[in-house]
Amino acid sequence: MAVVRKSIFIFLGSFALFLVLILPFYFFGELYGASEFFSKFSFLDFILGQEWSLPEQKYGALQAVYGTLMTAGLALLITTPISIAAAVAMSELLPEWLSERLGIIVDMIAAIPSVVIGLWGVLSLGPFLSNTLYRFLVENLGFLPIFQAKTLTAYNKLTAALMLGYMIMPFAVSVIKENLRLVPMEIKEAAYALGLTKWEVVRITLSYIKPGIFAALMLALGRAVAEAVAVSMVIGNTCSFSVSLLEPACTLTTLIINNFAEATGTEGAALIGLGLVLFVISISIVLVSRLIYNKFFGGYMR
Amino acid sequence: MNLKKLRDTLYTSLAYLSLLLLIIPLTWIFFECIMKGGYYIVSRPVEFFMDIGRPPGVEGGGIGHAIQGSLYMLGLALLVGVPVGVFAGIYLAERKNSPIAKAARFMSDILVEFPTILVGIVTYIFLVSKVTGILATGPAAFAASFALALIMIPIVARSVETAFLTIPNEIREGAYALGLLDRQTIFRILLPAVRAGVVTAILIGLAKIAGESAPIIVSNGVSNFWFSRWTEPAASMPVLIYVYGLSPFKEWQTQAWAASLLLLLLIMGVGFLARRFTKKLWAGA
Repeated sequence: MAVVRKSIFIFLGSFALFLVLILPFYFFGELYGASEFFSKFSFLDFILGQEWSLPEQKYGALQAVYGTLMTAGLALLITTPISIAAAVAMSELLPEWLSERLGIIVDMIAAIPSVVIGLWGVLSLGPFLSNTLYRFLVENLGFLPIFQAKTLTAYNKLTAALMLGYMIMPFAVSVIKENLRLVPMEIKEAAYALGLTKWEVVRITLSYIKPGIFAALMLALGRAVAEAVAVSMVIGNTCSFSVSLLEPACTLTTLIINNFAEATGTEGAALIGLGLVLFVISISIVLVSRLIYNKFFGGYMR
Repeated sequence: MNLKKLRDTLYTSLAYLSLLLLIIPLTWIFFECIMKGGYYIVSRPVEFFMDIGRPPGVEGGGIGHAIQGSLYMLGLALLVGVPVGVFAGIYLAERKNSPIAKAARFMSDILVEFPTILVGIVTYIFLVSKVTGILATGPAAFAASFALALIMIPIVARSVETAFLTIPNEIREGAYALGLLDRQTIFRILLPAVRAGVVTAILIGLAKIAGESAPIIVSNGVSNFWFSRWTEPAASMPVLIYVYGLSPFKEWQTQAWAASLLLLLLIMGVGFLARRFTKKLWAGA
């Protein structure tokens, strides 16, 4: 009788169990798909291989990893100051009604599909930047290795990073805003009572939620690493180790998205191997940020 | 003292400037979509919604095939994803301390951040690759639908859980006191009480997958024709924007803007509906 009474929870629980098994299923699928490749090529050669070239049967992931870390890191560098400042402005400086409206706008930015942002990047932002900012950088700061370019192109690491930075911004802003609300009112009141200016109070508030900001930015970095379509539209899709921000590159996701549909046999399996690398990178980023968050806030993150 | 004030003004204005940086690109994107795409839709309204694309160089053409393909794909994804997500979400809320619920909560927090392109790869490997494919041995529309369903399941589950957790415990106690079974309590008392919340959860999941392009490109590929069979590639709006946007042809680029406008309006419309339903949920509770 008890079994019959509780049977509904067995039914519902099986769906929850399915949810638990999705991630291991993904991992197993990636391993299985890449096994064909790793039976022929050694894992070390793959992960440390410098070159990705089909005609020569060279499958090295290092250039793609370099491109991924460069663009995502740069995007994070762009997002960090802007999103912290925007979150502070919205939750500490502006009146309630205005910041509520701005919150809706931030949600709207988050809702833009990545392919639409990619379209904007490829048709509007890229050409605009290459005529203005990039020309200026090459002409005036061209002696710096990071701003050297053989030919001035609209599609390079900097375009990808600027676009990615904008894509992860709404997420970072809303999580930091959520964190700012956790700061006890007494702390702010005490600071104001000491006669501190608004900015000094904000600095104290920010230092109070440092781990939360760090975790939010880590998650934003994870999103930048995972982004595929928008990046592939503006990064130029030429693999290289160039340090210049104004040179094209490739990333793990762009190699997959550009070649997976036509790939057969070994190449397809090698691309799945790249997916495995992406899997490991993005899962470790998410885990680290959750760990930090749980350690300092002991709670559950939206 | 004066210096202090100056610094205060400087930093505050920098904060306001950052808000401007946040808003400008959004306005820019909308402006381009409306000026280029909106103009195209208004100039050929019937053709745009009802016709398929034209070869490069030929004027005109529409995205009817992509709208149709997107509807089919999203429909199947909802059909698979919604029941799984809702049932799992109910379990997470009603058995919140069981080990399965704890593990599922942890896993779905990771899954929400998981690269969607990998979901496409995994569905491709298991559903349509040459070795394991049963229904098809090449890119196929149903594989893309399953990828989208897998993407939306954790999102729906977490939102449904949140909705169920807003129900006061007294209602559950009242239902049990009347002698109702667990299944009656859940489906006759609790589910109707948070109808609006469940609808919101589904809409949030839909908004998330409606704009996804990477998993579709990987598991379904590209098609320029009307939907034919589930085991063949189908067209879809995000992939059409991707292909047309990267093409060098002016006509195609204009249609990519038009499709973007349509997609943006759809997703924001879904988001607006979700907001309305959330308000209702709070008003009712």
